[in-house]
Amino acid sequence: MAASSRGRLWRRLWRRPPAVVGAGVVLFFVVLAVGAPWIATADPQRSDYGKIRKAPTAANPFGTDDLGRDTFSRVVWGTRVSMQAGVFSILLAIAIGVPAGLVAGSQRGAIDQLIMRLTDAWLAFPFLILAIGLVTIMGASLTNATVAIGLAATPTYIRLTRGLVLSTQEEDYVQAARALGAGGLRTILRHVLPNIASALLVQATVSIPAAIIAEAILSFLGLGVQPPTPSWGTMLATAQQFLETAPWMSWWPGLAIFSLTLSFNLAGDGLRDLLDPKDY
Amino acid sequence: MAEFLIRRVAISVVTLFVISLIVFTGVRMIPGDPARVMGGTDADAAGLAEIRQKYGLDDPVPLQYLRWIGLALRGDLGESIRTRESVVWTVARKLPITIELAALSLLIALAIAIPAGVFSAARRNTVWDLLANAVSLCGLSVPSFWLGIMLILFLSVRLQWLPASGFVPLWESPLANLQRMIMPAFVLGAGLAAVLMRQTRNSMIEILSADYIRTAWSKGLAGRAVIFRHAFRNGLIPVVTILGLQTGALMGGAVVTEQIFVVPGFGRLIVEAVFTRDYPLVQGVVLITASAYVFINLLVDLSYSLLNPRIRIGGAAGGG
Repeated sequence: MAASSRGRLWRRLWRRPPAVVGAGVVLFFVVLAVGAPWIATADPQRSDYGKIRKAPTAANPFGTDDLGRDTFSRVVWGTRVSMQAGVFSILLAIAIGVPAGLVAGSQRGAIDQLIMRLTDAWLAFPFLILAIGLVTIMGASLTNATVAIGLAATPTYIRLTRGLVLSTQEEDYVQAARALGAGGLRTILRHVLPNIASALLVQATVSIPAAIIAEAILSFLGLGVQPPTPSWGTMLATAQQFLETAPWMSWWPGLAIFSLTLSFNLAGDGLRDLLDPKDY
Repeated sequence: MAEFLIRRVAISVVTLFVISLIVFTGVRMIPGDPARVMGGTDADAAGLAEIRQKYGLDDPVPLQYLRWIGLALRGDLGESIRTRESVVWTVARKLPITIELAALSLLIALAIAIPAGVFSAARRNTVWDLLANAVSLCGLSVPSFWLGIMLILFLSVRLQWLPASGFVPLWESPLANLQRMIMPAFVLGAGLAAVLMRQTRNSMIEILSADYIRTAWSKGLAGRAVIFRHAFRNGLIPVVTILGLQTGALMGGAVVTEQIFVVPGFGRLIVEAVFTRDYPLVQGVVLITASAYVFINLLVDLSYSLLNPRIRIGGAAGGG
């Protein structure tokens, strides 16, 4: 039974090649992030003043930057920073947002009102402006940028979870569990949460690429990762100063962000189709 | 209708109140003496005393909040540490530039998204639809600042068609202004175009399968007439809502775009303020942006309810 339903899932997945390719590329970047020390053996922080802004060669396939550092190495190591920021910030948003949404949706009344008004106000700050404001208070670093992005993404999860709880609670199986005497918390954890998990997963595939771009933007503005740690955002900020003499410096970090976010979106679209049969 | 209006306005007022609380608390969380935070490192003892007096910094915190919000409501958001000019005045001077940028990018986004969305809905599942979808997915995924850098690389550095950066006021030379604004506006509009195109396509597809459209087809009306006279107007309603929600993204996007193309607007102002630790300015900009967002979405919701009578009765309930 389980094997045949898994087989059906695979068949449906294979009918969406873009989603498969997207998931493959995301996996590829995960491998890059984890295997950075073995894949990019050149030290990403070591300057070589004999090799400043050299065009791509066999030794430096992506060229070198303004301090003679290997761009290939820096792009590979930058994957770690981006993945870390993207995944951890959204985990933070889920860790705060899902419990808050569960409480708001299941308790209703004054607690619900309090949480939702706070959420509305939080949502009124444009994502990036809020992240910039938070980094201003906390100081510029990768950790703070990750926390700021996570906090900025939290209200989306509160709203989504609350909405899902409200609709799920009307379902027969939840009503049945209630009627059988299951308590509030037990119903939520055993019956509601497992049924809204897929929708939360789909939302995460949308939020993670957004968070990756947000981290790159903060670092590009100088509010995220600080030099000399390689990150795609800071690399692009430097590259912009050398567009005329070293254009390759701006190709690779941008291409990396673009292909990673595009792949996440492709995989996310596929996942949504898989989990939600409504066809557009 | 009146009940919906009052309810919607009341929610906005509560939201604005909570926003002000968040901003007030945020600035209090900056480590150090609040008077020093508001006055800057080079403020002298008299200057600090003046700030302490103005904001009642020796009073209990709730009283401090009331004093601060009272001043803010009268348009006094303090003065910039760096220039000693009033925050409201500083923002007011920069705002027209960003509004021009946003308006241009909105025009570009609509000019791309609406025709592309309607077309791919009408030619659903053809090569054209597939192509339009692929382009919009790329538009959604491409980081705006990289798109900006690539445009500068090809259009300014390589082809030398457009100036890479700088700004000329509209009233000085409209042509020179447009030459410098068109690239940032395109960069800012590209992501928006992608979102709007998807929304237009989806809502057009939904509407084209509605009964009254099928009736129109079966009456023998020509394809174009059905699409434009019957489907288009209703299909645009959700697009208007998305547009309101996207103004936040537009404001955030302006920060990055202005930074890349050195446009001296609102977005560049906030980045400069952050770097110079100009806290009153950061506070003012954040407060103004969030309030503007609430107002715009209130207007969008109200216009939406005028377009679609159903929402006035039941749809807007829940509030969350």
